[in-house]
Amino acid sequence: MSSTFDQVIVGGDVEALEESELSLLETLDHVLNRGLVIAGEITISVADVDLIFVGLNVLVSSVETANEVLRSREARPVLSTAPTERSADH
Amino acid sequence: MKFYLYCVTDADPNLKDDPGGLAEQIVEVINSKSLFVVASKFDGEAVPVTRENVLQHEAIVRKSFSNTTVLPFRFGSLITESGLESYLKTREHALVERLAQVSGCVEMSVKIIWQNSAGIEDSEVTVPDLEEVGAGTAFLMFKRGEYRLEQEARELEAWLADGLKDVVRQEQITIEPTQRLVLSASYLVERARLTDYRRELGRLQAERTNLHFLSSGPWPPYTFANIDLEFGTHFGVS
Repeated sequence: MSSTFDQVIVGGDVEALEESELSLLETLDHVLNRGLVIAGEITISVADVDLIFVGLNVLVSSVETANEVLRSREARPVLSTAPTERSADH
Repeated sequence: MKFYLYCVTDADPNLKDDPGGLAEQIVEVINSKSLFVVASKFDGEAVPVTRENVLQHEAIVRKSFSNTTVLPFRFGSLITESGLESYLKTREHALVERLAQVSGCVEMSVKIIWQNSAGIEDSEVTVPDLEEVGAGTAFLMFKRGEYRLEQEARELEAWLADGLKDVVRQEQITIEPTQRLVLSASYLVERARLTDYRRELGRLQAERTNLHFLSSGPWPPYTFANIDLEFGTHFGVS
């Protein structure tokens, strides 16, 4: 899936995974929590949950993960001095 | 058999060559007067929330968005054919009006995360040791911490709104002072002003290097799609 992020906050193999995860979470935030609603006509099933992300709590959880990645990046001088990479999508 | 709804558009989004919709059904464009509804048939009572389904919904909305102005439906919107006809008939004016409001615009999102270095100490938002300070003092200390967080969050909200006011058409900002994810903002931005928006947001980010910003977009206008009639109508008071 391509990134929806303006700003790529991480770079490298492990970090790219985090970016993809954040991109998915942003997609979930928009698709599941927002949009035009017809009263009483939304019926979803979360029984088979491969997405444990539903809801803001998971987004916060993901943010915490991102923070961990950012902290680990800051601890690595070579990467911390690299220019911020930007997504090709935008 | 019901229809699964992706979005309402102001013109035919021309999706002929696109992959199928949810549950491998063909995506249809249903025309009603000046409105077009992108939908597919759905044989079931509930839509499973899976990664594949969510991304499929977003992909079809985004494809429609590339050709037309859209109001995306929230994931999981199922309706009978007669229900859809009735909805379009009774809401046509409001939908057309809302489409005009978001025409030529995209949605951009910003999320801001507190960091300790932002001046908010952990000790100010945790409950103090009751044996040391007593219950009354502990309560007051906790409330003082909460109050300070709220003040900081409101200042952050005002700062962001002021910094972007000249480059956005509409905004919706939510603050959660006691959460790490303190601010979530959605902005309706004219496509022609996206460069200005990004420049201003970049300038703001540079001002507050002690905060983490998560910015995303452009999105179809999910946050600005609702026509605010559903609640009243649902209870028969519209």
